[in-house]
Amino acid sequence: MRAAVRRREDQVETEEMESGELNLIPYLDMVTNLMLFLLASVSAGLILVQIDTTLPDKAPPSATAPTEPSANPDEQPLKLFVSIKRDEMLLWSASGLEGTLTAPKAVFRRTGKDGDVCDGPYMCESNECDAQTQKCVPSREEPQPVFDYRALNKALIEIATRRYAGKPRKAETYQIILQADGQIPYSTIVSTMAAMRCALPELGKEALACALPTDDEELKKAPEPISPDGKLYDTTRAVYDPKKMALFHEIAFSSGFE
Amino acid sequence: MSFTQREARRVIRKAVARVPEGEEIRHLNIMPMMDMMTILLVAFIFQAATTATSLSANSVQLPRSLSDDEIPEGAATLIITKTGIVVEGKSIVAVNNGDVDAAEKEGGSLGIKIPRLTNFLAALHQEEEAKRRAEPGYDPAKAPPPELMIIADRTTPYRLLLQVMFSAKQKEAGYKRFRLIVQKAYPIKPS
Repeated sequence: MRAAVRRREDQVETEEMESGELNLIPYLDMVTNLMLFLLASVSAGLILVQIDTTLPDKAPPSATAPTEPSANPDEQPLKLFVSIKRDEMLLWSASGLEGTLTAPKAVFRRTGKDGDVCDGPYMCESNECDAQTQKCVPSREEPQPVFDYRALNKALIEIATRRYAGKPRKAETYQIILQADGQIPYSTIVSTMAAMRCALPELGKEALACALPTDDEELKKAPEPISPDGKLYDTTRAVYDPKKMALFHEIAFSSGFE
Repeated sequence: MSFTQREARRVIRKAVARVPEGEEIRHLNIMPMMDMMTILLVAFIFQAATTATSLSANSVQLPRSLSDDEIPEGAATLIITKTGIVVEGKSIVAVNNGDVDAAEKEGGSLGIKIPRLTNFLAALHQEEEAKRRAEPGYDPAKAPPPELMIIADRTTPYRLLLQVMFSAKQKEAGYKRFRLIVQKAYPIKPS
């Protein structure tokens, strides 16, 4: 039986050699193995996105420049500030139009304790949100401060709606300053910035489309003030809708307070 | 169970007969499959290289955000890990307990400028600028301002982030716009 199998193998080998074709099976094996290895090494669901920001030269110019008393306040920068302290987050304005540092427009307490409702890890101090119960659960990670980002978002939507909705909104009114305690981690900064930029979706729902202002010359000449993909709009012509357009996306970082 | 020699030969003959002569397999055209596999392989290697290298082999845990803006192309990449600051794959300064060593900062422990980082970014900026100038039809007036893509660990303190941005923003380095790279968060829906 072994001899017969060997004869058959020899026969197949001879046929392969005589046929003059390359044996591609080892190559295919290698490529398939590499494919599987690479597929496994690429983390599933790792989609990267970006948030743009700037760093002002010194103190934010909009915060120190005096407000023009005769001009319409809705056409000037509100000089809004979001200040993140270790135990609370403040929303106030240097212009005094939306609260002041001593009497802020809103104060947001820390949330994200174990057992609090969440729809993602960013809402939990432990960075772990249970998919079944939608509640924060303990993890091995070092706890990070988490604030009520949705409440901040609602406060900013209220300001944007009250002041700018239903008419073209001036480009300079999108400015906002973020300042934080030096120890506040990057994850808290990023979540706060997301709440400042656009309307957040309701708990457990997909992110809403959010168009951003642009000074693109092409769009300014186009008949429609909003780009065909709905991602950009000309501030001078588009009627502002806070639910579909940016809230305060011109975020500048300020040196925080210790 | 035992076979006689004759039965065994018959079984072998049948088995050998069942094996195809190889005609069908030899004529199977596997070139399209090979093309596809090769293209996919190259794509995966490229993606793995850009993602894995820039994230320095799991040393950076990105924060998650509901933001939806796509990452920019062509911006210089700066990574802040728990142990160091890396620009375009080159380690610049060490980070210990969320801070750069005082000796690396102008003004000591309270300083916010990291001269070594500023100098490296200045050289990188000049190199990029020279490349752009060499491109046909380059117009300095229309050229977009240089941007720095920052990839930072989620635990990076705000103070360190500011120090990095301040150092990058210095006149000699000239990076004024920053893109903070985060991992896209998908909401957990009620079951």
